[in-house]
Amino acid sequence: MAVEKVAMMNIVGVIDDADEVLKELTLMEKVNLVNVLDQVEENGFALNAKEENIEKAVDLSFIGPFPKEKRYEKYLEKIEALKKIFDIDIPMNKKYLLNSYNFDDTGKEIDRIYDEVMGFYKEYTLLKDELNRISQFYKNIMHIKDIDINLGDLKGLKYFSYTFGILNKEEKQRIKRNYENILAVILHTGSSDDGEVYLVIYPKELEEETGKILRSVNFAKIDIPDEFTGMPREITTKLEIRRKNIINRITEIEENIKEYKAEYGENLNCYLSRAYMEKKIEESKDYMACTNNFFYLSGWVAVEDKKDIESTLGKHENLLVTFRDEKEISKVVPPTKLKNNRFFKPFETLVKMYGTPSYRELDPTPFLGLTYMLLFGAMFGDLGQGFILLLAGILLSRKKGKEGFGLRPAMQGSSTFNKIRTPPIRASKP
Amino acid sequence: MMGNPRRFAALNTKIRALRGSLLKDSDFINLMSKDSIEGVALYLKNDTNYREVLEGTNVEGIRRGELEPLLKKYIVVQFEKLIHYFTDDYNRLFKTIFARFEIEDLKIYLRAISRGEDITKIVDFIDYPSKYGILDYEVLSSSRNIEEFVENLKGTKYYDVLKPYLNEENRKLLFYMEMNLDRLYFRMLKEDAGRLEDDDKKLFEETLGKNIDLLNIEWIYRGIKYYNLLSEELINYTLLGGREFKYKDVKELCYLRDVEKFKEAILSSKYAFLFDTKGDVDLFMERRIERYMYFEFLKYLKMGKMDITVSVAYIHLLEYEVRDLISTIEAVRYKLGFDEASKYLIRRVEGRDA
Repeated sequence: MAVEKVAMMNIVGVIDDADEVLKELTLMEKVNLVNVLDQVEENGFALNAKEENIEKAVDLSFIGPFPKEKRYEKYLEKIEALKKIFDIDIPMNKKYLLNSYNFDDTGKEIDRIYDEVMGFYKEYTLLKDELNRISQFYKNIMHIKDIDINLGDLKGLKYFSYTFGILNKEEKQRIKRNYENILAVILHTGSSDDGEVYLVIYPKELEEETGKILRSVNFAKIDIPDEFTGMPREITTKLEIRRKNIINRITEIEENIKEYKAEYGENLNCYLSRAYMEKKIEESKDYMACTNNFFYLSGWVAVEDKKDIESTLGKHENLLVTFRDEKEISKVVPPTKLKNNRFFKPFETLVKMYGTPSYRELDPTPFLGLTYMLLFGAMFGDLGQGFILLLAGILLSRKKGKEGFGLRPAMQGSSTFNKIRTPPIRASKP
Repeated sequence: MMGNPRRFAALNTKIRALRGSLLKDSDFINLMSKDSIEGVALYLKNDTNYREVLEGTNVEGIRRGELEPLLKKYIVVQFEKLIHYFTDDYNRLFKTIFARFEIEDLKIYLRAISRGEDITKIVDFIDYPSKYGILDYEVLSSSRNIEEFVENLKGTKYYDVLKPYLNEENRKLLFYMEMNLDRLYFRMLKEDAGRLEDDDKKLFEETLGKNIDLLNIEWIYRGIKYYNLLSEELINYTLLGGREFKYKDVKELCYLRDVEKFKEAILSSKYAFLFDTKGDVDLFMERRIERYMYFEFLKYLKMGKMDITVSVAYIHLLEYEVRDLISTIEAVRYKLGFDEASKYLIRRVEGRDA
């Protein structure tokens, strides 16, 4: 029921241990990193002049920022791509981080799986595109499937071009009424769902003019790619065959993807967690500094967590962990960590909504918790309403989890509770 | 079936009341004497019915971009007072008439894009509550070029009429697109008019026919003089259903190819006023057409018959009034002076003419 006491932790270690130490601290979630250079300036790294520390102290004069490495970005991108292909949603999971591992090996594995999957996935997307194109074109060619004209012959014309398209009745009438002025043959070739289909044959020299005239009557052109020749009916058969082949190949690839998913789905989960950890570690390095041999780290920890941290980090040899009382620190304001029992904990959300008290202030949570509950009850003084709000609160906290909603049942309960003791004013009105 | 007297009795009474709040020539004379947009806004707020939309707005230092949407909102407000009097096919027709505002907005965009102007700000000028419209102005304003703009219209009736002209050379593109938007509008009007009851249909098509004549003349004239369109193309773009010029006449006009011969043909027609002037023919052609229609509508409004003419006339007069107001604001801003400024108005103030 107060603001938790904190202390400044300073760590110096061998640079090769940096990643491992950071990983452990991140998993513990008990340290609030601050910029280490501020601590150096404040002489926070005044090390005991023991012999074993001399090297570390001397090195301090060559201190500089940590080199940035963003290799995790590339891996995260690859994992995201794989997630999409496999159509899976994998959450981050701590269990994959507890044992020690080498992220270089993880990276190599990610690269390998990605390259293998991409090998056939590229073909898959190309085939899908082609299938789309064929479906579109198939629709077009169906408009003219009953025409007994070899498209190859039309294409072979030396002085004439042709086009197929759809005209509506009114526009067709317009053309008809001015036919004597139009240098083109316009043949009705059939009907389709979208309207009447016409074949227009015109001199090649009049390509532009004919185009303009057709545009002015909203002539909807039917596209037929050059590679298709022969009778329209033959073309549709060819298309059918090609389509079947593509669909078969696509099914094959989909099977392939499934196999990979079964084999590597779990691994991906592990790699994703590790890549996120890598990201976290790299982000932490913004606060840290290093020399050629050592790294330096500072952060606030709760006084009561000191022992925990010391024992976890104890396994690293040659790691120097020191703590300083917050009163000795002038450069940085200590962070506020509220500490309340289970009953008042939910009300912390409310306090934070209004503003977190500073480290040296009192924690108003218990006071606010009690008064807020009573006032809210007075405001919503109706048993029925209170009950509905209570239900809504329970539902929301179930759905959204404790975060922020743990408070609701308590509050809504309060209005119900208040009502039991005061006569229901509203209910007594006619 | 509802008889016309019953259908229009209430409506025309309502319009008679609204008619009293249309601006008078004296209002425009007063407005033009103002020396700032603020002055214009203040006059509208204190001395005219526009207080309906200006109330609650602080007009001190008001900018053009803030005033114009309010004026357009005024049309919407008046329109909403009437739309409830219409049912079924009449309702549909009046909503189509309203689509005209959208089309005018699209033209504003297209002109700005073709001039290479920044269109992100246009939304401020035209974003008024158009719940009868289908355009998303925010999305349209985010377009970076004409292709994107047209693509953003996908799914609307405007998309199909604009899309085929994207490949057109820049100089002609605007002409084609504007013409096709108008064509779409008049096609919709004609379709809706076809569903009205016989008497109203005849009356509406009479007005529409005159409008179609004038538009056809304008397009053919510009098509021949500036854009060199093929005659075969021109004839396809013209609207059918003109009153004086039937298909055969229009076709003849399209194949004249010579501007002088074209002028002669029009000078011997009922629409001679388009060319019978010492003033600038091309600059004022559109205004001349609108002024002609303005007097037509004014005539209908004054006759006050128990049919569709009164409401059609009122809606158009209201639109012309707001467009004149916008021209007035421009004139005040650029300090044009009364004689010059009144040339750009649709109405004729004090018998002056350009």
